[in-house]
Amino acid sequence: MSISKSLTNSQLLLWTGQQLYPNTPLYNMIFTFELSGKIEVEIFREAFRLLVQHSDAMRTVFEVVNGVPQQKVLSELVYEMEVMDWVEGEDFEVWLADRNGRMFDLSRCLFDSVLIRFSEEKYVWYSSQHHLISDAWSASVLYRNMAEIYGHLLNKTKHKISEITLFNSYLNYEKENHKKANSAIQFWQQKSQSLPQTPRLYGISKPKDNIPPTQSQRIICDLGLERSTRLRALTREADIRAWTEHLSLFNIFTTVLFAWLHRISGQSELAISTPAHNRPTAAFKNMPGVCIELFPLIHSIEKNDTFKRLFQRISVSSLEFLKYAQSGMVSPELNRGINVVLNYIHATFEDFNGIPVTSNWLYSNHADAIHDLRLQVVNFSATGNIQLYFDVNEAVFDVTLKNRIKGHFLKLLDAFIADRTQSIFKASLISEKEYQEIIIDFNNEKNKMSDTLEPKMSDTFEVSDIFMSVLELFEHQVKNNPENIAISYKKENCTYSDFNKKINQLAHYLQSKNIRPGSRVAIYTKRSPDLLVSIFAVWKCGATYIPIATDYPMERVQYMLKDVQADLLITHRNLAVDINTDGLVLNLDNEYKKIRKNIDTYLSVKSDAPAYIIYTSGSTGKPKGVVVSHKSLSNYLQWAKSAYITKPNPTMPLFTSISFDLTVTSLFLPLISNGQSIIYEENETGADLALLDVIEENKVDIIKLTPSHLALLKGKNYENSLIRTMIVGGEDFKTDLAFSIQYSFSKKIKIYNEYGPTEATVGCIVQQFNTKNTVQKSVPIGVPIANMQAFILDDFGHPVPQGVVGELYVAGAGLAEKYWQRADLTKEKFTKKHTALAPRMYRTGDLARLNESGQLEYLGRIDQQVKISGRRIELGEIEAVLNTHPLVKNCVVTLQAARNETLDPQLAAFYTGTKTAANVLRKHLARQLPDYMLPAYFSYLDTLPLTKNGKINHAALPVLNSAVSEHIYVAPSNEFEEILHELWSEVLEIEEIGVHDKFLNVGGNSLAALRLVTRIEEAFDLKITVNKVFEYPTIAELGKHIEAVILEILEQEANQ
Amino acid sequence: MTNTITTYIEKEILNSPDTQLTDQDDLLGSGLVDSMGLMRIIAFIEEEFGIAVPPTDMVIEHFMNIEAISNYVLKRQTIDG
Repeated sequence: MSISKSLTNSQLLLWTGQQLYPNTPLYNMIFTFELSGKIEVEIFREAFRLLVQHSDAMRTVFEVVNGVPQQKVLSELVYEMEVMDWVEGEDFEVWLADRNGRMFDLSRCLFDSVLIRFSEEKYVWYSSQHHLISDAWSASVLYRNMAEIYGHLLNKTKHKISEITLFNSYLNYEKENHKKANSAIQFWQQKSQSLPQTPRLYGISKPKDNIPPTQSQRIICDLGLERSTRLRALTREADIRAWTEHLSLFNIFTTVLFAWLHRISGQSELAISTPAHNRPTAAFKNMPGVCIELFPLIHSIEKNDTFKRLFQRISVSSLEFLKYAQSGMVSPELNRGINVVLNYIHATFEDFNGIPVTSNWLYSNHADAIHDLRLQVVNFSATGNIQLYFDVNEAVFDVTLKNRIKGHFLKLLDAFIADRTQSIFKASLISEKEYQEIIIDFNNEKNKMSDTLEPKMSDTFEVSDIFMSVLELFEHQVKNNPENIAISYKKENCTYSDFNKKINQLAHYLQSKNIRPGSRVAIYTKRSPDLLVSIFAVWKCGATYIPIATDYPMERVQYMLKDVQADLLITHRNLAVDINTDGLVLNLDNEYKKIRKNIDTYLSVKSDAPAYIIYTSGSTGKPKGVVVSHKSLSNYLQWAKSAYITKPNPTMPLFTSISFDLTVTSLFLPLISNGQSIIYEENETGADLALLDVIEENKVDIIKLTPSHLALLKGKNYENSLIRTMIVGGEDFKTDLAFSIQYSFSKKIKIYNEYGPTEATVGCIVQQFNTKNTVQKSVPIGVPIANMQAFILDDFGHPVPQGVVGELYVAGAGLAEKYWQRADLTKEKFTKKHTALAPRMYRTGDLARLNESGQLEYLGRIDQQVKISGRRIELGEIEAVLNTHPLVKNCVVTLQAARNETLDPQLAAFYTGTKTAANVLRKHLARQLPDYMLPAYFSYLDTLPLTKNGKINHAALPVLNSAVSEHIYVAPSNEFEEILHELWSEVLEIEEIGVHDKFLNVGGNSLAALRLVTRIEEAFDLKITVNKVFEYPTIAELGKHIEAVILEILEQEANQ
Repeated sequence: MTNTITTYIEKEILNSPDTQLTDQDDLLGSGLVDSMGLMRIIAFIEEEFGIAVPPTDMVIEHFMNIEAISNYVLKRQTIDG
């Protein structure tokens, strides 16, 4: 018995891995050798006995001494190799599966060897070792020596078994090498510090698990003789040729692997692990034992990479790898987070003492859980036919995906072989079958409905050139249900018939004002019956309406009016004061009598004019108008009616801003469904809290709102609410919010997540929230609505494989016509480049993936567009306006994460130039931008941090809490202010709030206001409404208000 | 110089002092030395002869046999020196 020795670094990792999974054959290295010839069984057994006797690795066992694993070599290990005759009719695969799953007792014997006789001329040698004592190279050393010893015993010739190198010598070498390998240690230390994050293969995030599953499956891919031959031929070309053919092939497979990983994960910085065999010398090349160690290869993929460019970088890094990959360097840190391994195996198994052999490397169907994929490149029999083994973790790769990866990899390998000067992005990855599934079937009208929506929704409708416009659909309701209530506003109700009369009268009046087909009429009113009357009247004249919210700053309003060249502005008296327009203004209050004098006769002018133009934030500094046709609008609303309206006479509130296309649903859906629209007017101050009134009054059964709205409702019980249908849109809908809402309302409530940019008319993709199968962080957005199609494409315009993140494109009947007078932008965004998929598509700029269940998931933006409370903001627009300030030289505006889940993320502006007071800059912006686009923080910087490529480095910008905020700080000056200051700090989670800071500017939102009010009521023992927080938006003002309220209470008490 | 290189390869890579390597023996093509072994040889000549071998120089032409290696080292020494 020899002395105990410590484990090599490589063995230590294996040992630890095995301890984590004591009953899993993670590291069983199993080979079968099919021998087609006569075997002398007793000589075979004797040969194996000698092999064990002369290989210290085979006799090595492991034990824990004082908590530390040790290895020692048994001087004698008695092992009688099993020989069995195979019983005909039995299933060999079953026997193998059982044998492969056997665990080794690490303290006794770490190998297994069986000779199975199938016939006199056919044997199988089953040989398996634990990885702690062997690796692939070692397996071939054992095989070759076994064959040699057998041959010598058979022929009774002399042989020198002693030439098998002892593993003990490697143990010494590893220790010695480590002592003098300073530069290598340094090299790998540096590498371990620059490991990128773990890429998500096919967009799949592995479920987090304390003991992640090791179940793995091997997918074998035969490259075939022709492809293998072409690969070999390539290795002789000047730009490919490395020192050896093996090295050239290794470089080719590494290149294709990196290209593939990038294409299926979208990640540019990537790392894989690859083993070094660590047998540089002839002696180590004839030694059983484990020498391999895993080292990382790190590369970044660039947009203009060709296979050749990538190959060149990889060739250089392979040389570095070979130089520094030395025995004893490996550590857990070195490969941290790397989920892909490339194992290029040199080992071969040639004939067994003249007997032809077929060798198989069997799989225990388990592998280290961290390894989502191990790509093994093998050519055991040296026949020239290279094989790829994809060993894939089953928690990541489901059945469908498993069957696809081979094809995707080969597409890229073949592209490399065909023309390595081509871009790594040029070849499409998906097969015809996948194309059929994710492009054709996914967008097929028949398939859309069944999955996500109620059976009822299968009554599809055709949108042809002859279609019912929303106006016609409304008139249909007027004709059928004239006496039903169409509109309810404050305490007034209005029947369909009366409503229609008002519309007709206004329409005739508009005609007298020269409103014709194609005219553009801006509507600048609060939410009111007049708003709806105006819209329909505009349509009756064949004209287009442009909604402009009344809380927009005047400069923005003026810009829109000028940009859209409005022929008329419809407004109310109190709003019209500031408007300065060259065009006509129709003040409804002033001209009420004149309008009422008009006849109430049917009027409907045929027109191809668009239904509306809605302005959205534009990255160049000015908002842009999206032109939507009646056909598109009708497609959405007819679908919405069929999907959402499940009972007669639906009641729906109109309570969101008229400038957002989200509100289009609330504007028209009830009025084409024989329903009732309940109108909630904006209040005078700050935040729009109409939702609270909607819920409080409890009159509606269907509602369209944003996730931010829902957050306001979180945590209370709404069992008595009449609401049965919620349509949620405008921004990312988090699953936990959806759950919370589903449970706080009646169980019968249906929640729909509706996705749709203004450019694709309100909603074009939808998903009903399902408590049972929503596992993602956000509710998926689902599948396209009727007559709409969705595609996820890469930068090259190829459909990405299922699961992979790409840009979402939408097409179909609901596409907007164009951007108003922006031909260039229209051409760019409404692309006609992918006519094979659809004649015209809108590039959403949104990132999405098609998940395993065939639902689309929204994953954020490609560009700088952000959303706060469902409102779309181009950061570039804020930057462009800020840059026009004379003291600002350059600037960047970012969205900083919310400090907690009840607060909104906040805009922060960083600028260079001359340090300027924040309120000066804010005022400058406020002239052109609505409140929700004003940054909460302005921070002066000497220079903006740049990336290597000269772009602004967003990651290097300071975060909000450490940013120097430049609002003018005024400390609380009385008791009221002090208490309020404390409450504000608590709710908003910041310390430095001045008493003149506006609530909205320091991160407040409606939700925070609700929380603040509860605390104020407790602290001062009084009742105040949420509106007061916005009416008195600073600590100072609110303090005065509370002081006044308390005084009043005291006076009342004194008088009693 | 060739002697030093020959001795290193015979002793440290081939582990067999009996092998008689000639200066023209094809190291890589014959399979006597593999990529990893050649890297050890490069590390050895870098240290022994005080040169640095840049990756762009790591081509077969410079390392196919002992003669080529010696020539390369001489060339490199003039450049570096």
